[in-house]
Amino acid sequence: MGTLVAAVAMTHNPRIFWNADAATEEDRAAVGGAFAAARAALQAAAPDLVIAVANDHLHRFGLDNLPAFGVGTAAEVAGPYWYEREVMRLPGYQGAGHPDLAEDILWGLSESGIGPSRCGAFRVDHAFTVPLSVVLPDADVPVVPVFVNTFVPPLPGSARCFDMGRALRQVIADRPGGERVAVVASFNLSVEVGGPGMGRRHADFDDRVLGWIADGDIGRLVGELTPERLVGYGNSTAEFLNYHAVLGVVGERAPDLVRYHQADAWGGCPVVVWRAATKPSQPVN
Amino acid sequence: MTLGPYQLTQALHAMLLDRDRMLAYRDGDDSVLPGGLGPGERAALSGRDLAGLYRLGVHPLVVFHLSAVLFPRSHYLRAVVPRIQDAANPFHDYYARRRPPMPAAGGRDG
Repeated sequence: MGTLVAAVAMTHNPRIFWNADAATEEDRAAVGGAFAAARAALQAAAPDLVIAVANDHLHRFGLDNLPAFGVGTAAEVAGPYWYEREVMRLPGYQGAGHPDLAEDILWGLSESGIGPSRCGAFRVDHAFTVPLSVVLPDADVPVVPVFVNTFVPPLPGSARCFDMGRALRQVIADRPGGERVAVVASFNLSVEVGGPGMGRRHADFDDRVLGWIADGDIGRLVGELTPERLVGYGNSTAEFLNYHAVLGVVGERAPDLVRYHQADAWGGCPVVVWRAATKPSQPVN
Repeated sequence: MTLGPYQLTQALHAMLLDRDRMLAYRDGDDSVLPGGLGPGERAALSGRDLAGLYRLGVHPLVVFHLSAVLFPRSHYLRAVVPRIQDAANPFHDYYARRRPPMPAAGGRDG
């Protein structure tokens, strides 16, 4: 029986790196401190395996074939893409995958009616490499990426993403040999990329959602934040669907740490941590 | 004949991921552009007209990623966003178009 030992949901905001020079010392201290707290929590949890939940930014998947959910089954996890590295100066990540856990996830999610796609050959983009490079700087724990479609409509619903997380929780519980499993996800609050609302922040939305996050208010986070409503606050706000999946994994429990910093040079940078989260051995209702 | 929003997005997605091809395009080599382009599509790509690509229906993420390679970071916010304020885009506007309308006012028989 496996155990969920920690969960981290955090920003993958590329401007932290792409526009690094424009930040203030306060920005660096606030975001660096939040990143350090997330890294410390994961290292203290000492996971044997990590499940990473994030979205693809139209890199691995194109319009010819774009699944709602994809599970990376390869033996290696590496990224990001060339221009993310060379032009945007985003951090790289290269580490082991875990095909055996990936197969269990594929099976468990299929049995739960989620219907994931198998992804046997892939790179991961900055939605994965930013959080993974922060919390696993030595890339010394095998990672299975779970891709969520947050950019090409129709998007999977918030309840379906939550249910996907619940299915992941059951997969963790069903793992053999007392494995310690952590979940690392990336998400945003309000932000738009490439559309007419780019550069416009919705502070009221962000403040309201941060309150629900701190309270662990699953009802509002899942019930209110449907894809249709999320994209009303920016097309990239739909990356919150990754957070819905994490909620499904951790269950009815408020996070242990919520940090949010708004930097003029970077935009919003959220970090949320659950330490020794809900034991997956508990029945899933 | 044109590619249209879906095929053009897909063709530019493929070009973006090909480092050598994309850097050639950045450096002015239009021979690397996708085949089958319509006149408006070719004009937008030859002119590095990102607002034009957005108006042609290319997915906003792909337009932004093209900008990241072609121009300095601040270009998109400064030069593209002001020109797409009233532009339609099938990917960006999907949920706005599908949002159910408010109930009509008036009597039972309309």
